[in-house]
Amino acid sequence: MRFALMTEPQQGLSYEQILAIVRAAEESGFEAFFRSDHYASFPGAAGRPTTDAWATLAGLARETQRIGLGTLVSPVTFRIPGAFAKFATTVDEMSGGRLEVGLGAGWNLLEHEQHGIPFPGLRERFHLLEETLAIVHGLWTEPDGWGYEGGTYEVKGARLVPRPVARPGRRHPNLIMGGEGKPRSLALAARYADEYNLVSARPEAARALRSRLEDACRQAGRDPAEITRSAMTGVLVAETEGELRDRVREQIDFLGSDEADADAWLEDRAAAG
Amino acid sequence: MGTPEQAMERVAEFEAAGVQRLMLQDLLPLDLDMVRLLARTFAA
Repeated sequence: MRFALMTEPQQGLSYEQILAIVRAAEESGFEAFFRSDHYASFPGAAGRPTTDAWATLAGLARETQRIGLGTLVSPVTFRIPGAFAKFATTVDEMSGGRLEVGLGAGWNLLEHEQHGIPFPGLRERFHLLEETLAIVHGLWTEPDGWGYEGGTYEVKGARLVPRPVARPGRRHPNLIMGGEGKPRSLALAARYADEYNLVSARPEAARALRSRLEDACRQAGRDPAEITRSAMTGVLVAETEGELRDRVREQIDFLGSDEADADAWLEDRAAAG
Repeated sequence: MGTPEQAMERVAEFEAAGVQRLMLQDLLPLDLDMVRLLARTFAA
């Protein structure tokens, strides 16, 4: 099993705070650090400061040495595909080939409304996701001159220079699709992704995903072993029961939860598995 | 959630379900002691 640290900097974290976290993660041995890509603050109090994921990743690329860096996940509604491929490739170069790229359809209406970003319906967002995956993957892997016509975006005579950092076993940044394992999402992953990340995961859901992803790969003519199966799960650990309760209280405060009792919170979570 | 030993039991369930990589979602990221404990528990 491999492990990465995942954070939600839209909880009000500044770049300096994110840097301190990444440095602690790097120094203590994590293989990778992921951050969310949101412009509205949640969970907890609304209106906290937020940062742009890709601007911070560019800085982190230059201020760390070893740890992998990426988003889980970037909504395709935020950025047009060709520009996204270009600056992801640039951050990959800046990091010496440590970048991982998570892409998703986007879901948070509020952050789009607050920033004047179009937020089409789910069907169209999935179409944008498909086109973004096709273009980013194509620009990374197809020869110069490649073309694509997707209905919304068209690529003619493609030329992406430089290409992503390549080394044995790596042709481009690890391309991660996040989701809940629904059929359309899995079909896209089978065509384009290197990894499928199940969000808010429980073991039983992960078990069910495995067979569905294998089916999607077979239908796409792809070896399921080529796609890493990952899961995102919340963590809260402490070395003693007393420290655990302290951290639960901190988390309750931070999340702005109505639940004031750490013991009740722990019991509820234990009951929920 | 729990002690490192309890958390590793949960990890074993994910592993048995075929998960190859876990993204540990940390909602107390400014608690760097917990980041280090997570690394000692999982990533060492």
